[in-house]
Amino acid sequence: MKLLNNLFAYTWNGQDNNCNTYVFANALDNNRHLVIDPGHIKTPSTGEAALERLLSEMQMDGLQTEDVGMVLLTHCHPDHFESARYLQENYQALVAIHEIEGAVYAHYGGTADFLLRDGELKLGKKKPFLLNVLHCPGHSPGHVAFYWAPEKVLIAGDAIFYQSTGRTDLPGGSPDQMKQSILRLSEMDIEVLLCGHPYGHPGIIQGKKDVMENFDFLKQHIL
Amino acid sequence: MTSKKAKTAFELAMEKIDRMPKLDKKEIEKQNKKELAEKSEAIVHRYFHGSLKIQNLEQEISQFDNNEQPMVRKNLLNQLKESIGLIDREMNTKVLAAIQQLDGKVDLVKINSDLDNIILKYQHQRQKEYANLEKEELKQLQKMGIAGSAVAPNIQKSENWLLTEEKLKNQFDQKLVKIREMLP
Repeated sequence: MKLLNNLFAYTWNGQDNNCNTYVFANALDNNRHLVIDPGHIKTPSTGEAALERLLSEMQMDGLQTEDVGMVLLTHCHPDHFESARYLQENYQALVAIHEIEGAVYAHYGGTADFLLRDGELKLGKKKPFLLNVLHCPGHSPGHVAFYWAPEKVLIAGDAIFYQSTGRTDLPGGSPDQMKQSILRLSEMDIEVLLCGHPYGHPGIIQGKKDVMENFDFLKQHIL
Repeated sequence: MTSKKAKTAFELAMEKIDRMPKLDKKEIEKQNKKELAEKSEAIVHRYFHGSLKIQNLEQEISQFDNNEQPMVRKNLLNQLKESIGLIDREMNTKVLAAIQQLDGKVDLVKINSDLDNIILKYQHQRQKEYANLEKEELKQLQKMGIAGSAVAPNIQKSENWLLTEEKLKNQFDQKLVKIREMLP
């Protein structure tokens, strides 16, 4: 589904757990696409063909899967990264994850072509596509969010959901870090908040007012 | 009709033992050596993991038969020496302390200083090579259109780094061999 400009959102609506995927179409050189969190290949409990579904939805939107040129991962959990290797091996897409989680990703059999840290990411040679990488640990030690400044879009991964946050009880998780991360993200100028899962809500919060209300809810009830 | 007395379980077991191939003296010795090596390894493992205190190492050795004790001591010293490495200085200190406990004649001051020297040189060289490679890889990424302060090269997966690291390790491992030779 086209969300705005060249940003497409593929919210997961299957029965099993899987993440939402976001795609910046033609953002890279040679009109290749940038995919954030491609999710599972097949979901673990019900075996739903998640990647097949994602690629088919992208094709319906006119995005050719062989044009996927890069995959950025918000964190190293299989429901976010599993398909990255497929896209890397089949379409020569480059894969990146935060530097803290590069070794964990390798442990799962993945190879990051480069690593991420807090700062600015410039993609493309002639007219670079810019994203801010925000290290926001809590759900996992090397969790990042991506901020697209021109449209004030925050892709929050599993840091923030609608009226909820990501779990902090998984290995490497930390409630204190999660609190600091959410407070940091709440300071940003956000018009569109894109969450990593559709828990009880598609996970797309649009409009500054709704985004702020969601942060206020988290501050009051969860942090 | 002939009557045959049933064999007891003991008799059956003895028959089975009789049928087993007999170990000659050399094989028995080899088997004993292997067992002692495994037991020594377990002692070193317990020492490294904190469940055996340094002052109890001698007591562990004394639990073996008198004729086995020199072999166990030798095994322990060899296994400790092999554990000296280029990364973990704390572990090296622990190893040397145990070696001194088992053989009081070791000049720990000199060996510690030589070892520290090797490790510092190794780490310095390693950091230098790492930084050089990082610069090169960043340039390569820039050529591919990937740049900015958020980009860090994945040096650990770089073949150049694996080769450089192995070369460095081999070079400095040679120096560790000399340290081991200075130890009992």
